Amino acid sequence: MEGKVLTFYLCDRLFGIDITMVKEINRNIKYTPVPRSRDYIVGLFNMRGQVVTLFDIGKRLEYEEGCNKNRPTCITLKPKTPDADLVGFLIDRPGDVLEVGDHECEPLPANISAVEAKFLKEVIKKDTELIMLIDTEEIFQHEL
Amino acid sequence: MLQNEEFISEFVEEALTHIETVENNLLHLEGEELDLDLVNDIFRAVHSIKGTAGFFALDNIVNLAHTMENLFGEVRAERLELTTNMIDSLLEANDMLLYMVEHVEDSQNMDISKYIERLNVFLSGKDAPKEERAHGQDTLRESLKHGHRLYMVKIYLNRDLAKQGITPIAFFNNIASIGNIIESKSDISHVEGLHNVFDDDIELAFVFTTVLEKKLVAQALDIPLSNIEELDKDISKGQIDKLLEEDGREETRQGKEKKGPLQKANTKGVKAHPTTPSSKLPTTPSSKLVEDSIRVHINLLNDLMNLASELVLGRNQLLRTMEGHTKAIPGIESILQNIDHITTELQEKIMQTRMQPIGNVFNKFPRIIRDISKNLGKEIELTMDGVDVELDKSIIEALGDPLTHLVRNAVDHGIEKPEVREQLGKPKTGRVSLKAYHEGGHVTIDVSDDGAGIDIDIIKEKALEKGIVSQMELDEMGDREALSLLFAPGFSTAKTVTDVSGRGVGMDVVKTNIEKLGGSIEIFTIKGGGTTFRLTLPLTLAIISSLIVEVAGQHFALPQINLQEMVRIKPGDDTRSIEYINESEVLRLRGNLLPLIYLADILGLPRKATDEGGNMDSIMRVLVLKLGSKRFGLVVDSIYDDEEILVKPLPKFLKECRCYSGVTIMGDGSIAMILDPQGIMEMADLKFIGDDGVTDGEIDIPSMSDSIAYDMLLFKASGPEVLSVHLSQVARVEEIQKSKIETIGDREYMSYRGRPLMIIRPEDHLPIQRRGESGEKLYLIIPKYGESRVGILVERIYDTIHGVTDINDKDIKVPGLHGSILVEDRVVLVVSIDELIDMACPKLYEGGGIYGG
Repeated sequence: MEGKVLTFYLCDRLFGIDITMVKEINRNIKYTPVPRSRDYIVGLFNMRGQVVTLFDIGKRLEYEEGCNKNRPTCITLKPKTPDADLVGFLIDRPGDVLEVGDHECEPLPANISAVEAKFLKEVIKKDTELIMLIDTEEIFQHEL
Repeated sequence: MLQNEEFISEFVEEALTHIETVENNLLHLEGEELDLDLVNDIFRAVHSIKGTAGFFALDNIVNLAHTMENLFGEVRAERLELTTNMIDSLLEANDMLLYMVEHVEDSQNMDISKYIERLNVFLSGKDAPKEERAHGQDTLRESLKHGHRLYMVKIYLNRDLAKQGITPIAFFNNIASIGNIIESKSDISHVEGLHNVFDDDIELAFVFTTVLEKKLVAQALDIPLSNIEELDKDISKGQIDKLLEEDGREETRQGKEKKGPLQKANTKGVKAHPTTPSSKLPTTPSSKLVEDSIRVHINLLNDLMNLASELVLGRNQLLRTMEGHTKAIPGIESILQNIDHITTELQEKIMQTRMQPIGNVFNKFPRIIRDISKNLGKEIELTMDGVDVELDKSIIEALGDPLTHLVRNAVDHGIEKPEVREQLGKPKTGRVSLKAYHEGGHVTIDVSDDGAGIDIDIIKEKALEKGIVSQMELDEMGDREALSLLFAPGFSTAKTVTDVSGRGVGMDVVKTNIEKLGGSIEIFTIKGGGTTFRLTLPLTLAIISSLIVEVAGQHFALPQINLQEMVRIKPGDDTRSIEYINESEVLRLRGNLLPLIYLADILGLPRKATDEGGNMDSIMRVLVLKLGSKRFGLVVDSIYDDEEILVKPLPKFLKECRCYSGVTIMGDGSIAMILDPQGIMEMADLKFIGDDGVTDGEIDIPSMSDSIAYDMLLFKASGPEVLSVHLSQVARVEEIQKSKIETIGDREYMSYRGRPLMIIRPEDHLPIQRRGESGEKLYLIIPKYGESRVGILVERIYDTIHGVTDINDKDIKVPGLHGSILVEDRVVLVVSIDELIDMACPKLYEGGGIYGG
């Protein structure tokens, strides 16, 4: 991809998300767990009167650790349509905003897990680190 | 062109109002003396439809409206008498008009010939068009006599009007507001259908009279002077027609075939038409266009309402946060108060924007009643009260069907045939009344009739026959419970199926629909005297009253509507204990077994209350929920206050969680899930007998016979006698400390919910023994009808029991007591709360209030 990427840490890994998708970062939020919901749904939180459904991407990617739930920080995404349900996901901590060019991106390597292949889009190669760009379409897809 | 669609939708909207006027006025006219004002209104309405439909080449609508107009013209001139037959035909024609307007795109393909023929029957024998011309001539002459000038205006729809944002309808109305339209015509000869109307420009031509000078006309209509032509006053009607036609021919002379003028709008009746007298010249014509209402998209209103609710929450948080700091910041107190007030007011106003008068639903009933009563050969008078009472739009919309059902029922089953009524000594004409009024934050709608009433024995018989209840249950049932059988699924008392009502969709649907709206329905009936169905509805759907409960440290909101009662089970209490049927836990509640569900189990959270041995280690709290005829107990850890909550829809990611019906934001800003009792019941997989319509005749849990109206609350005052009151008369029972009671004069009061509450000691007024109170802990029974101003002081509450024995009112008969009943071989006195309050403070019932003097 070409443009700005917001990086964040989750389960000791570095991820990135296209910054145009992001509405805001909320720190130290209070959320309400929802019993009997899917395991990758952490709960709901009140963002100035709007109900945001919080995802656990760690669970979604089938990492064992799951996300950090102490002093939770979350990235809330822009809704695709004005009346769509708001979604967000917990992260361990935010990273930087990076300028990314097409030449730095590469398709996912062949040896990653099937789940990762489904929910990740690309790998961004920076000098010192690799950033996994998440596929928000897929991750927040709701299968019944 | 987008605007054109707007023109059409404006036409449709306006025509719909006119059609409603026609219908209402026609119904008023029926059977009354000829009221010329009403006829004039109809005439004008039909005329407007005709006039505006002409602009869109809607020939069918024009022709039908034209025929109706002719007929009204004759009626108005008192050349024809308005007969019931004629009204029938006119109503039919009006319905067709409505249908065409609603389906305006297809209106050209509809067949209206039979309606026109029928109307023409009344006109036959008269040369209608000729007469009509004569009328036009009359208007013309009449107006000119009053100093009017005659003008012709030609204007192009797209070139002149659309550019300025004036719709043809508005233009038509503008002209009508300054003078009398003699003729109007739109040249649509080269237009083939609705879709093409706007591809080519259309020329509109009007001939009208007004007192205004040419310059002022141009100003008033906001058109160039060159478009207006003053005509010779001595011009004849024929010449006008010719002028208009010639005009059209000029415009379309490029070899196109010319039809005759498609519509001739004759405005007759100078008297009824607003003619501007010269003294009141419109000096600022633009002010005419100022309207006192605007159209706003409903989505915008919804957004506004959401925002206002958020603002309320924001304010609550602000106030709570600032609570301890108001002293530190000078002046903040009044600012906070101001914000508090404005927020509340803002929210109220925004709620009002969604409110609509209930008249919108009521209005269709005169017609329905008329049609059904004719159909059934009954004579019925409908009265409607409180049409201005307002309810949320969504409720108004959902009320239509249930109300129609009730009204149809009243007419069909309720009101007797005229001859039967006469035999019974009732007035021949039956009465059905619809009444809406506010009561305690709710809106109540009464649908009453003065018909036969409901025969409870027939209901019982029928319910037994259909297997809805068993004989045993029936024997135990009171009248009120038996009446509620009407709402049981699959129940219909109509002896024969008519096309009016009794088609199998029964009262249960009505009840379900009303309950969906968060309302309730009650029946009052007097055999031979009539029936009233009372609907109680919330003002708005978005806010519901709910109980906040806690399980495993999490808070949930439970809608109050399904909650019947709360039961506390103390460990070691023998009278209330959990019993087991195999693995299933049940609670014996007033003789019936209540299946218990742990909310914790349903939600997959840890249970709190029982230890390993299954023994309770603390108090258990059971919420008795009722869904239709099914009851179960829901066990929760803690119960908090009830709270008015704002319902927000469930995010789509949680849709498969059946146990929730929505989400709400609580006062502290945290989110709580709203529990759905129906979903919980399904998840718990409760199997209720009778679920599939089959009964085995031996139902004892949970049955319909549990109406609390027949339950008694047992208690004792200072003496040893056991007293009781109907639970239905009790609002609450409160535990109080003796030290809280204050004595003022010879009366006792205590502060209760911020108001002084007068205390009544039963032993002061009833023939029972008096002894000193034993402990510090006392109880107050707050009656339902004392407006929370009196409380009955008692020493102990024993229990509630299901009263099935008759009250013995012969042996003990004193004021304040209904009589006595036998409970487990003990005599229990039945206290009449009304009489007791009356004896203790007579003024309360005289409207003066207890403190008044």
